[in-house]
Amino acid sequence: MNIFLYDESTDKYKKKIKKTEEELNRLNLQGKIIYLKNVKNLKETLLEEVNNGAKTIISVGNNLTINNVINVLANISENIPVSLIPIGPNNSIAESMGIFSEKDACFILSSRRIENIMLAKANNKFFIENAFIKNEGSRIYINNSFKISTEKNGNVFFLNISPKKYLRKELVNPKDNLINLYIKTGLKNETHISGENIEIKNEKEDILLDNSIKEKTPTIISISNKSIPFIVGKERFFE
Amino acid sequence: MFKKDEKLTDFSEAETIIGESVQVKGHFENNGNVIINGSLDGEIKTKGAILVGEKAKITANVEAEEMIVRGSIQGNLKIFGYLAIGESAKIFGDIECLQISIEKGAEINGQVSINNKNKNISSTKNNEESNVSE
Repeated sequence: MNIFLYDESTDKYKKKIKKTEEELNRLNLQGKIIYLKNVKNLKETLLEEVNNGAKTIISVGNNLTINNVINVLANISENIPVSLIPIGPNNSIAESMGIFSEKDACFILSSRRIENIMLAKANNKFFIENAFIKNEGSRIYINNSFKISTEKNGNVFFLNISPKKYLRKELVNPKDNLINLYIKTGLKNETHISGENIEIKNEKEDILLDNSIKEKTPTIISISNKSIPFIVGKERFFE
Repeated sequence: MFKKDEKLTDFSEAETIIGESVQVKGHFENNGNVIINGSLDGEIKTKGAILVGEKAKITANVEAEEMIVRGSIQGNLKIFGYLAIGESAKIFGDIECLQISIEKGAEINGQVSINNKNKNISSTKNNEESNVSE
């Protein structure tokens, strides 16, 4: 059975939700709808659905929704395929999976092309796409062997999956066990270094995971040994 | 700057890029091609090639398959293949490589050893500006 997890944020998009449900019905992709605002313990709820034979978990909402879902699924031994239906803003993870609209998402769910994606970890929290912090005051240590610092202010990203607009997409592979450090301090001033584990310290700033969850530093970022089978767009390959 | 028939590594897909405003300190080891435009202090080793940009400042011993130098290096270079030294390069340290090209204007302060197949040429330059051009 398909299990649709509706985030509270989708309440504002009733028309989109209605159209999406019509499309899902047309494609014969009905399933059970769970409204996350009514769920007290997501882990218990998902475990129950998995034990009842859930075939696919579909996260309906944004980056925060899917991040919460994978943080539960990463601690469940069964590998249930996960799909996304992006509704509203902050949906870069869906885009990274090749899903650009709710209509796309229905067809992609129907065609069911699966890619196993290794999850990245920041301390004990999992993330899928990226972690972000301002570089001001940040000290970054890679593989316990060298330290990175910057003279100019800018942004620091730790990439597991390449965002849609990232120019060096080919370097970011969620199957290579490497986390990619990307520092941008100006229009043409970019740094790209990959490593197995990266430690970041910053007394003022928290690190933001999947543009949704804050984590205090010091933070150790690495690729975890957990993978999730994601249903992805037909042109999205991870090699 | 270098002749077109020189076989230089294509850096358009370099795995590692160190930007202008970035400083790296420590032991940096890599398997692919590296572009350095910032500063590096410590040691660098790669199985690929290194491109040192004009504004780069390196204080480290360097080991690589190939290398193009346009910036400043304080340390010894051990290059298993081809080393290209540009006109803006300043190198303070000993050089060991298989093949070399040096542009007019480049500064080299140290011993240069070129071990080219059957040849074994060794020369010493101390605090002088190179006048070798292609």
